[in-house]
Amino acid sequence: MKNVRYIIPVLILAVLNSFMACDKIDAPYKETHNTGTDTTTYVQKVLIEDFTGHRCGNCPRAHEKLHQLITVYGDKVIGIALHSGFFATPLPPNYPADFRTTEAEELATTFGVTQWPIGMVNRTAYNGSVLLSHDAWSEAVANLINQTPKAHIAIQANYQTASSKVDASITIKLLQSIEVPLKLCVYLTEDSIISAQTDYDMNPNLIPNYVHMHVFRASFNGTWGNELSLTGKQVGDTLLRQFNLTWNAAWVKKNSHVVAFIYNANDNTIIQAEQGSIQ
Amino acid sequence: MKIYVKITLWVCFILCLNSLLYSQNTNQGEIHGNIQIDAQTYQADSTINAPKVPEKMLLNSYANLVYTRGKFTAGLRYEAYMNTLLGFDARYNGTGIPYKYITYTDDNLEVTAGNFYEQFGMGLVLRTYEEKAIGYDNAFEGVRVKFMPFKGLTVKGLTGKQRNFFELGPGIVRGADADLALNDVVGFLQNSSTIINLGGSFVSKYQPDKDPLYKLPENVGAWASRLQIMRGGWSLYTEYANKINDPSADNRYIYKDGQALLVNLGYTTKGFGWILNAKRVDNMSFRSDRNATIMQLNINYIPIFTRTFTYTLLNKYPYATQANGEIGGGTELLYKFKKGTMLGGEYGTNLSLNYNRLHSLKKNNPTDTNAIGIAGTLGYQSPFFEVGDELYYENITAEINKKFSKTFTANFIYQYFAYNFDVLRGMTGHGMVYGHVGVIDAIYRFNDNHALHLDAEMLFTKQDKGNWAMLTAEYSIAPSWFFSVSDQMNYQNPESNEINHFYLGSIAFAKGGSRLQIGYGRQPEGVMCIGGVCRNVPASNGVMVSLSSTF
Repeated sequence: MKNVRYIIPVLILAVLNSFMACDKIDAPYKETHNTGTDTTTYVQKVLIEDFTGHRCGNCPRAHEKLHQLITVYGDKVIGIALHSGFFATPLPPNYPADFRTTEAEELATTFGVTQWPIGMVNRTAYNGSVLLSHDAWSEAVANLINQTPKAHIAIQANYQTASSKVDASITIKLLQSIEVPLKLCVYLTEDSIISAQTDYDMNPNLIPNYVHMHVFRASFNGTWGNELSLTGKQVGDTLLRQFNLTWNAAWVKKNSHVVAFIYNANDNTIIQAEQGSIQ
Repeated sequence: MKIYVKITLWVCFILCLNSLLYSQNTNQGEIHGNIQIDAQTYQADSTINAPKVPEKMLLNSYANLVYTRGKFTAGLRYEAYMNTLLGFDARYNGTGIPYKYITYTDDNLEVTAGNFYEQFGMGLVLRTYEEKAIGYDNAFEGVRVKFMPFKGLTVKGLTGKQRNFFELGPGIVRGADADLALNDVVGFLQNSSTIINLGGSFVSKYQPDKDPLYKLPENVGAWASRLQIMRGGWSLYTEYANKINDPSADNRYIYKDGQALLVNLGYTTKGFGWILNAKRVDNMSFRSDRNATIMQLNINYIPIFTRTFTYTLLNKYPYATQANGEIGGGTELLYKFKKGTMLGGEYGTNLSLNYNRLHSLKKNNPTDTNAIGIAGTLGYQSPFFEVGDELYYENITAEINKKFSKTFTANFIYQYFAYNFDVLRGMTGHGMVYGHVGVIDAIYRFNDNHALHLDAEMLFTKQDKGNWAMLTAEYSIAPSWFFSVSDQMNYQNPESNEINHFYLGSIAFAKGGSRLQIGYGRQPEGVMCIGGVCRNVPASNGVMVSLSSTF
């Protein structure tokens, strides 16, 4: 009888443990995808803003993750590399390039970036945090990408030789009613810039000919963009906004993109984004 | 909706406290607490690369309040970061009450609802704690039950989510632990001079798999067992832990199981002590969010065996536990030369010798690929008893503590270290740093109240930032006043424009349970990398004010 008391705690443990099952996963560990191109007219796009730096040795892991997500989701995922902070400062002779911009620095400061790499997925909190480590991007993208879009953005960007400017026409079509105040931002990014990068996975870790993608170059309308008033607009209506940006001769047009997005001015969450090339 | 639930809970909590306070009982209970405020002003200083801080002043503060009455304890902690001091995670910016709890304690039962800290064994599968100085806090929010059905057995069960700045992490942690003191239970051991304790734990975390790229385990279990034997001056402690597949940001999404083994053997007698420890850690990072990094949401804790010091230059190249994999050990010898002997002198002399060496694990190709460490594979295989080629850390430290007279005491330390900068700071291209550190720390007491404390430190290395020297002088007038000045300088920095003085002066005043300290000076910069994420802790120049009070 005395031994009965020994059994009670053992039973408690056994019961607890039976609830705490383990999930043993067998190979293959990777999901198979059949995403490809989305044939529906209007799709939700997801913007990943990657705070990065050419002297940040762990940052190529975030670049790889962004590339991986673009491979899986195609043009539904749009990337911007925001070179900012200590790791983006030039250090000649090995790191002469300066990809920093006042806009990227302002974004880093406003969103409280104190570590690199880190990023934002549609500037939307996932698991309570807007700033997400690159390993969390895929979940955050999956969480947003199948939403029904509230708006559609179309970009027409043309280079004007006479004025050395890029004209960008942004057309926004309302697909659902939007009750929050909106802002529209238009940025310019450049791909395939060959320049040095630190990569801690490589030995030596200085990669002189690293290919930098999605590098934020400039904004057509400032860090935070312009207000987009929907007064008098109905679902199905379109709005047209036009901007221009003086071209910098160091940029390569065929590698550059105009990225436009609309966001909730109250909480910064991005509602829709689009990317277009320059004609 | 969420805010209403929060408000309702708070009202309940306050009513609960109120009813405890004002009920017609003879015992009204007691309230204790403490407050800490740390503020610093920042001015840009281009000579030491101290950046401009837009706020000009930053502040970390918190207050603890604990109410105890009879079998109930209730407490809370208010925290305010406006904004966080440089070097702390900016995600703490803001204010809140992240810690609040009620505990009921009876003879053999303890129940806690709300926030709590807990540790199973040495912490290989579960340990939550807070360390304000570095901004670490992984407290649980949930429920915990401790049950002592009879003398010698303690069973604990808990479930909760973990603190993630001012939010909770996404994962749910469930854990159970049992501690058995065999001497209280087994008849023939009851009067034995051999003491044997056994323990075991099981912890599981749940986090949904929403990842489009990998098939992830939603429930990850880990277990640990431990044994402690003590007889005479001898003691042996060992703990072994195992964890199933847990692909994460830390291990770069590999599916290998994790394991860890700790062994501590010690012998102590009057004037003599000896400790031998060994550990092997393999893929044992365990967090309640698989994508968390740095100091976020750790469920477990890998103990560090290397000795830690408070001396600045002995902390320039400190060892950091490598949860992804490390193997090594250390030994420490303590000896007291008796009074009246040649080495002991009039008051005796304490000698301590310490040695540690830690290596990488030996890693072979996994069964499912021909490369090591590829995401979405088993990652690698690691033979248990083989040591990897890469040295992570080695040190030899000798410390002599001697009282020369009733008024004069001194401490002498010498340390040699080898420090794998690439691994321990997570940034390659620096290689090994080899160095020698010497410390002389002397205290002279003029009388019962007045004392002068002088501390001289040197660090010699040909790598990284070269040699450092540091001098500190402190004068204290007990019990209230404390004055300190110090200067450190990396006088042989290969970058000649980085040779700078980092001077610091401070005055402190203490009265009752309160202490106010005001200081001014410069602090050198550092880059901290943990778990593949780097943070630059910038240099700073400014006035520091620190106020603490206990009541």
